Amino acid sequence: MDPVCGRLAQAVLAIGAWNFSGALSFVLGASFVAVGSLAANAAAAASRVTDLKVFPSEIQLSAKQDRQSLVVQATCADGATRDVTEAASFAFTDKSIARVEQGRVLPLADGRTELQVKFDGRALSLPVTVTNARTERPLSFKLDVMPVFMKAGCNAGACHGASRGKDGFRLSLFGFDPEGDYTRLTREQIGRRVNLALPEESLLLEKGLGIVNHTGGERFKKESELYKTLLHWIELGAPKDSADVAKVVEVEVMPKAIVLDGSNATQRLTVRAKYSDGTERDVTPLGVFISNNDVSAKVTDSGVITAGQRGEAFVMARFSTFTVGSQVIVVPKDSTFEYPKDLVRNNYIDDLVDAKLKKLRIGPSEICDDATFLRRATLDITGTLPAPEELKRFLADSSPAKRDHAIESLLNRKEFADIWVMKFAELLQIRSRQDQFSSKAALAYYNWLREQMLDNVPIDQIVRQLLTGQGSTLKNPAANYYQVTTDTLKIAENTAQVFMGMRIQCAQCHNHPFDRWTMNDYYSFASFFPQVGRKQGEDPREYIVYDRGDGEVKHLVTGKPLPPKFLGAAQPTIPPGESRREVLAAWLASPENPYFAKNLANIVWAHFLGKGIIEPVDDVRISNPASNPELLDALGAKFTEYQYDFKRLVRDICASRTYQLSTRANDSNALDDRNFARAAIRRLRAEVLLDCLTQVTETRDKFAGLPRGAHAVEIADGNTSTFFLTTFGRARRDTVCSCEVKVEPNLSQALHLLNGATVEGKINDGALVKKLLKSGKQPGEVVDDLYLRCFSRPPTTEESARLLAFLKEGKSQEQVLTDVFWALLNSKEFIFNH
Amino acid sequence: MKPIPSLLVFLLAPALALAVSPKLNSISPSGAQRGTEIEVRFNGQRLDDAKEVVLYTSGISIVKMEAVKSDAVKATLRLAPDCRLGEHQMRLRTATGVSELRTFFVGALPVVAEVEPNSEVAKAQKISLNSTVAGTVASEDQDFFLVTLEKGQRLTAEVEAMRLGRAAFDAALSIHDASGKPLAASDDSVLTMQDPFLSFVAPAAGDYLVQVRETSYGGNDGYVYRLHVGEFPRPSAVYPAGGPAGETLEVRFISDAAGDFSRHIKLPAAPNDKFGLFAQQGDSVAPSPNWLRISPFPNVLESGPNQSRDKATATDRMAPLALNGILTEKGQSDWFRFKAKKEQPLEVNVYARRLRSPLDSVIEVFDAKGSSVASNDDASGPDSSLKFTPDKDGDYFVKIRDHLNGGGKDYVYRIEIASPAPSLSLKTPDVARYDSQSRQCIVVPRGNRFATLLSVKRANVSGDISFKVDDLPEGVKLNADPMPSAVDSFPVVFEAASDAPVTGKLLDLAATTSGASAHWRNDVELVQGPNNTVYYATRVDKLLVAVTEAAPFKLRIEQPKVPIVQGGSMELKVVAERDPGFDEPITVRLVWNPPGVTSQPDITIPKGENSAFYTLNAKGNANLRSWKIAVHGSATVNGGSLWVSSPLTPLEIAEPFLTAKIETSACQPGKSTNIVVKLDQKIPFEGKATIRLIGLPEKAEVPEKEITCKDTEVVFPLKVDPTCPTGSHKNLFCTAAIKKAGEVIPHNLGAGGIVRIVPPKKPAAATAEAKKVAKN
Repeated sequence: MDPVCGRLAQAVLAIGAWNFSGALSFVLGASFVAVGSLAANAAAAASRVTDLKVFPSEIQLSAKQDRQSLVVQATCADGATRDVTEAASFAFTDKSIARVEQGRVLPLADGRTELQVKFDGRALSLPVTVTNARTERPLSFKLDVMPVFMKAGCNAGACHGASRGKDGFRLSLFGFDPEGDYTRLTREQIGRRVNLALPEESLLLEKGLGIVNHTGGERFKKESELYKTLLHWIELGAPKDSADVAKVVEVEVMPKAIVLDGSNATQRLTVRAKYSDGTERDVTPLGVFISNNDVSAKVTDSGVITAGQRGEAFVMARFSTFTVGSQVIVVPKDSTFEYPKDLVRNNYIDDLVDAKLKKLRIGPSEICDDATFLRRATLDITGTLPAPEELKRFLADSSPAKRDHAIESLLNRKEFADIWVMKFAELLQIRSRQDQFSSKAALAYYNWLREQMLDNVPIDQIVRQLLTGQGSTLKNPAANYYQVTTDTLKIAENTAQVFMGMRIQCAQCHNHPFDRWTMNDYYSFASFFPQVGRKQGEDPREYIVYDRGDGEVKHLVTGKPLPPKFLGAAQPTIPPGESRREVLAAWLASPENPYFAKNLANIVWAHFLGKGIIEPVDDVRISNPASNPELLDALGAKFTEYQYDFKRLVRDICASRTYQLSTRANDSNALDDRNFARAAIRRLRAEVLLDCLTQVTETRDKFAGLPRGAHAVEIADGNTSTFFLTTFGRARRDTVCSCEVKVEPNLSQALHLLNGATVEGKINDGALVKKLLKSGKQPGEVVDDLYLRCFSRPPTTEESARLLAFLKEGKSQEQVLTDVFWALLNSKEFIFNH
Repeated sequence: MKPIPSLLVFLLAPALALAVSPKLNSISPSGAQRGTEIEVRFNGQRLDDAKEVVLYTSGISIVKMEAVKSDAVKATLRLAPDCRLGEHQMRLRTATGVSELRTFFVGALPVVAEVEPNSEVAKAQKISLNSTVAGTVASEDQDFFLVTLEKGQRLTAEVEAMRLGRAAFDAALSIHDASGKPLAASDDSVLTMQDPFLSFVAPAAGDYLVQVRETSYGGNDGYVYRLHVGEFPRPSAVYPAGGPAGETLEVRFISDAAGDFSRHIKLPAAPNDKFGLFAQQGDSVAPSPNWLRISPFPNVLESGPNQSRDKATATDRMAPLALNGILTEKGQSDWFRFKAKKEQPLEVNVYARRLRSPLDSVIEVFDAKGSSVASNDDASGPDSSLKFTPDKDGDYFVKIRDHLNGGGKDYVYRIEIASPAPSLSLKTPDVARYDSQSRQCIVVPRGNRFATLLSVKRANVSGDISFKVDDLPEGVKLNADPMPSAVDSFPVVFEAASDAPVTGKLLDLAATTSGASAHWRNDVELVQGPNNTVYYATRVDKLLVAVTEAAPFKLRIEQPKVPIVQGGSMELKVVAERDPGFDEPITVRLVWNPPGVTSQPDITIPKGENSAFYTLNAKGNANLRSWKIAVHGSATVNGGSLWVSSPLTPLEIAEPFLTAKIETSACQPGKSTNIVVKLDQKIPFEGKATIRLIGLPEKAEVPEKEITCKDTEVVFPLKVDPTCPTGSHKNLFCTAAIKKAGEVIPHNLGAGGIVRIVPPKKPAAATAEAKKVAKN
């Protein structure tokens, strides 16, 4: 055989082998198709108001200083929304109770009335209740002063909220420890930070104003409410709150859904907090506003969104320990876009994807051809390539339901289970570790998981077995859930991340900065696990997991244990002596847990569509919202309805038109990669790529702990790897993070394919070309066969002609055809699922 | 060439040419069928002068034996038709040493060899039912065997792999239909640990496959196994799990695929912690035993639904007694009622996992009113043990359950209740890391000695312990003092006369004190697991004492004329008497350090030299008494290590002649001061003694001084160099060379003395003056 480089030069000409930068921008035959761009200009009709909303829907003022900002939002016929607060007119049925000033409602006297809002011929009325109209609400450290630190950024991580504070002054990060903050303000450096004798000379105020040297510069102005609040509190003698001061129990930002038509369109937000004493307040001036996409939607400190480029953004308002958000879509103004009609509709998934695309004014790509579909589905469902005969049979089939039949038969193959065993083995970190987790235990754990999957045991039952696993880690391998890691807090974190997609780690030390989780949530969730006991078994590799019946986790700040409480749900009553894990398991893997089914459905979706509806799949948080919440809800509901049967959910997804779309972009969806308007081009995972190489070259691999001929997707112990798998980003199973699997191309992958031992070695070991020639195939037939094996399509006439031309150069047929095979295996078309 | 040295070389050559420390790596094959003769190869090193295969068990005899080469011995073994099944222990004895212990397995079935290729379903090796396959799982290997069964026929398969004691071979076993579809599989079991067994009843007539592999598809040429395939019974448990010695017991064999069955068994006359009972049905017998405990206690068997206190199985017997039952259902607790006497302490011991029951017991004892008196989970491994003293006469209850609330038809248990009895146990401690075989036999060269340490555990007994061994080989004697209560291990020395015949004997070594005695037993770890754990060990209960050819050196300790004093030290002179021409270095170590005495791990008598000094140190609180110590030493002879020891030699620990206290002092660099040491004279000594102060910092010096027994203090003038760094030094002490009867007794005195090197004070006025000058 020629040296590799010589063959490369030849073969690249014909096929266009792996190209590093090309891998990133891989577009098959980039012929863009514009969908529905011929729609007539219907701007006038489109901007007709079809709906009017006022936020909040009810007004409560309960102190003299209370204000309530109003937001009036109109929805147009084309789905866009407009902020019409300025243009709307307001009137009260009883003018003595309240008045409106600059879009804000102010109290005048105690009583009830109604506010009439009118715009464009539409009218709405909302109830107004005023109490304590002439009484100032007493100033509270926790409710009034602490929010100032957040709004002014004092307690942010980069400032005094850092774990060691900044420039000698520390505040708890985002205010998780108000008691501690009070102490630090009033008891450290007495007379300096808070100067009761000369309140205006308190360092707190002078630094905030920037009139003395302050690394953070000016945080507020003298005339601002923030300054006034702080000053007033110090003037009052910096009082501490009484123990029964109310707590914030809910925060709401409004409006929730915003579709801005064209750049520079604006929309103001209003934020309302509910307190444990039943009162409500407009906290818009104290809210911290953040947009996750400034390019599409910027938000000002006062909560006004300005549209930028076409796209989507999630705008969050943070107040107290709560982060809440609104979805903002920015569409091009006066677009002539019209959503294509007569689209094939395969199931509910298509309805929900279409609904979102319509809002975005994005049209989906066309449906992919049969060969592409079969290759894609076979790779996704089974991690293998379709055999040439299978492909021929499928292409020749004229049944309209042939794609559904193909999905069905793929789902019934054992390899379907293998893929999901592998994915769960990653989530469960099945990987031997010195002393703590033997390779025998890892193998037993893996085989147990595999049996469950092969038996199609519903995932909720598997999860229950894991969470309640007890006994010998070798005889009841599910108990290894508690042996893979033995740290109580880590187990709690992993449980939340794997089964609910939530990363609660932050809340171990402070309230989660971008989510709702507080330290109390964290420690009360962790309280499900401290009673797990472990003892050495008789076999040196065996541990016995059991319930000790005692043991607690201590809260980092209070040092006291908290009773077990479900994340984001109720606190169960657990009689002493009962296994807390049993109680958790019953809730976690049940429809009562709002996150479980959706999280798993999202993991499945991400596997087939290349991107989660929430992405990454294990980072569910308020500040990382679903791109299509309705779709996620529907998939979650279906998964529950299907009794957590993976197969049925996969069937829905693969049968949808959305899954079967082409990867070719059109001019409306070229820039969008979050809304499933076209199929994603995905590099094959390390294991699947190796298995495909093994499959097409007809070779066999040997991995530790597995019989010869086993597939890379079947690797039981995460510690087993090969250079190839490591280079292609196989998960090490060190953590539960979905980020462990890497499918980003890099240079060493390209070099390994071109020059490494794997491709070359497998071509030699399998001697496929020799076998094909020996069986009497002509060179042209061999090329056809190789194309079908590697690309699941026959070569084009041009490709055939160019490749067969090499045969005339006088080299041996076998050598030239082997070079062709090598070049095919090095091509993007082989390495990617498209 | 001078004639005499060459003659010497000639005479010595045969003795030196003999190999020492023979090594036995394996015995192949690993086993055979009883009632047959088989040629067996013992593979090892330095086996040229092999004399005997030492057999620890009966039923096997040696027909013929020959040393093939230095690395192999061939022997023909005759296995009696009634030879006990299972493991048999063996060693090789040579003229100059004794090998490691290895095991050989006797089975009831004819042996067939595994023949490759049999690694695929299609290439399964056909074997007849009721045979034993001797196979190997080589690298990436898996072995398939094909058997033909009638419908309803029982197929039992059992693998001996880890139990063969050769390699950490964790075998997995499975039964498949003819197409290769798995029907049953086993990896580990409680009864046979890492070795699997399966019992299976054929659902239809036809071919079935039995597969053996390493549990994670590993393998190597050392992964040898014996696979028994047949119709034999393979119960996972027996009930009751024990009975009174010498009686006939009706035993039920449980969990066999073809159903339980019972037998009347005559139990052995002597108590036994773990008696192996081979299940037999007709001519078919299980290849490995189930375990019973033979104790003097009468059995009480559970009766009726004894799953609550009010339905407890009751007995009017007083302790000692043995309660027997099975926790058949998951979550079940069994209750027993027994009678106890006020103030008479009782021990309650569960025997379950120790007899290979799956039960992980938890027990609780209640008084007649139902108040808990005592409870335990895991005092004896997974088994429970507790002690309690009844506070009144009357009924007591014991409740037993599984730790994980498990249960099953083989969850057999035996609870023994008895007064705490005095007991001893006796063994030889390991002398090397990760090695339980080194120097566990007594190998005495003719005209020489061999020392060993014995360790004794006592329960409920004190008093001196004497060691006794009957029927020593001709010309061999045991030198052993009584072992006092203060220690738990003690040196003894075996000595062989120079004309003692070269031979070997397996003997019973006993330790006795008033009210209790013990017989020597040792666990030999044949397969070690990760982190110094043990996968498989076998127990020997006879000590091999062998006389070997003379060694080219002897050792002795020169009897110290003076004691070692508390807090003092001693240079012990060890003398090697070398045969002419033998000049190898000899590594010497103390067999045992008396309590409170420490020493370096070993010393070397260098090549060609005849003595070396061994430094001993006595702690300040070492017991004041006389002990006997010995050293043993090894030298390389023909590539092997040869060990001999000194005789037991008295060592006295005495009070120091004087004590001292170093008074705290301070000094600046460049200055001098006196360090005063107060002396408290206790016993007069001769003449003058040199005393030195140790532990001073660098660049600080004192001269040595002399003291007499009249001095009450000694003053060391301290000179501190100007460059001496400042700081506090808290580990000062003195050494004094006290003389008695012309011998020096080193003393260490006044430990913990303090000297501070302090910086000079800067005179404030002078500094101010200097500044002033600088300004001007």
